[in-house]
Amino acid sequence: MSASGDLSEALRQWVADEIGDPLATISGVRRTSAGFSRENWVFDASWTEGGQSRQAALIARRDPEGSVLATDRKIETGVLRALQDTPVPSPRLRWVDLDGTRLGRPALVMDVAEGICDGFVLAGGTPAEDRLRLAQELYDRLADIHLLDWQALGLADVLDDPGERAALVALEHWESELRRVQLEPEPELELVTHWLRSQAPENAVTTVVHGDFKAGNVLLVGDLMHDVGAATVSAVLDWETVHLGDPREDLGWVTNPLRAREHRVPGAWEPADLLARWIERTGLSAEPEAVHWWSVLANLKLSAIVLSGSRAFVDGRLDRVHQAPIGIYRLMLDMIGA
Amino acid sequence: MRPDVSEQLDGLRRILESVVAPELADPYPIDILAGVCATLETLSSGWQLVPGFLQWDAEMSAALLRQVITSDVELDGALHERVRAVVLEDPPDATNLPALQARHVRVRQALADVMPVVMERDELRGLRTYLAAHLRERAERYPLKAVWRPAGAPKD
Repeated sequence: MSASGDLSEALRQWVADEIGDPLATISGVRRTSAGFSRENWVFDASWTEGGQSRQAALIARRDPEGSVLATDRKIETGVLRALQDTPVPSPRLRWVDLDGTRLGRPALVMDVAEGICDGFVLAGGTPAEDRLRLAQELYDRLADIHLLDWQALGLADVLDDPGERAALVALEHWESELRRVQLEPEPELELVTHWLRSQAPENAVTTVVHGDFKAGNVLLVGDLMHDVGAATVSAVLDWETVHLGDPREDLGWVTNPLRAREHRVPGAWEPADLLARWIERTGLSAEPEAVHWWSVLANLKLSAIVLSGSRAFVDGRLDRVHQAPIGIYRLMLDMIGA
Repeated sequence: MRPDVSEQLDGLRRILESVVAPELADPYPIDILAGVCATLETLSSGWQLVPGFLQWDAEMSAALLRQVITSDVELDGALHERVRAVVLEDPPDATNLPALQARHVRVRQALADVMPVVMERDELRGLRTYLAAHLRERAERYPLKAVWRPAGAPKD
């Protein structure tokens, strides 16, 4: 089911069945370019409910034939449902098809949340003080994720608790991913994983970890052209890699020097500023050595994601070429002082 | 051999950008085509360097492996034999690309296999410095280098 026409009819049938209106219609089905790990199809649905005409802008996210990231749709949807009544804004999940009956592969349908996604909004040309305020708004939402009471939300039924071994569990996971996807020997990664194993920190607390927090995974409402400092986060997106673990994992991800253009406002919002505000808001600790370890792991994870893309391309399952992540290898050598 | 390989790759990219791209409307094919054009550019500038790079990287790595097996550190028997075989191999002819690729994989695999020993043994501390220097230079010389850019990132 690759033709968009077939997909449109399958989507329409799915909407009609869920709504209970066999005459429900959909229009404007198109695949967006956003998202490397899922197919995203946006569309408008119209139906009649209780004699009233209804409309909604929806997005279907379907597992692709090839992806740069293998994730579990059951976990993602379980977390999205749990987040609905929390301070963490997230898209409204409508329907889930875990076994792929509806669209040929596992998929979910969500409301298109209000707001604009701009992954490089902090690097924009607006005044630095405005971008600083936006950065604080953004990373306060990350702190809110870490403050979620995951046990009270019932997330222990959906997510595994790695306990104080979160770092080693994460390392084992990404090493396993590397072994699964790599097309050729990668001595650099052997070197880095050896360092990571020898330096892995223990975590004092276990929290929800987003796993890919960035401006490119949130929606903002407000006037981004003229008053970016007043913009607010309307939704945190892409919960594909959510898990329980060490909150410093997300801190290592957002302070990764490779992603500086996405996460920093030069001279105004540097990693030290981010960590200080996060510590103040959460009351948790963020030892620089531990955050650094997680930042190195973030690059190992990115290497695995790129190599996964290379594998999927060679196998004919992905429409993008991923060259070897040689620049990331070089950065990791610098970061571990090799 | 005109148009040569680079000229053909550059020409294909020009056709895709000037003839095909303007006809596209949906964001997904536009995005994918941009990636195809970027890859053609990478190949055009890098393909000529590939054989030389494979040969250089393999022989530099083999030299590091030679230092491991001639050191006082004793490797596991099977690993020692595998490394020794790679070190004693004659390098292939520089024009034989499949042979260069095959040797390159064997040497890199041996280097990956000895990495835990190199990282742990004090006797190999000096070698670790050379190893890191080689891996850095390798990153500099890598011929098919795409600048890693997050989705949606503006070009520099």
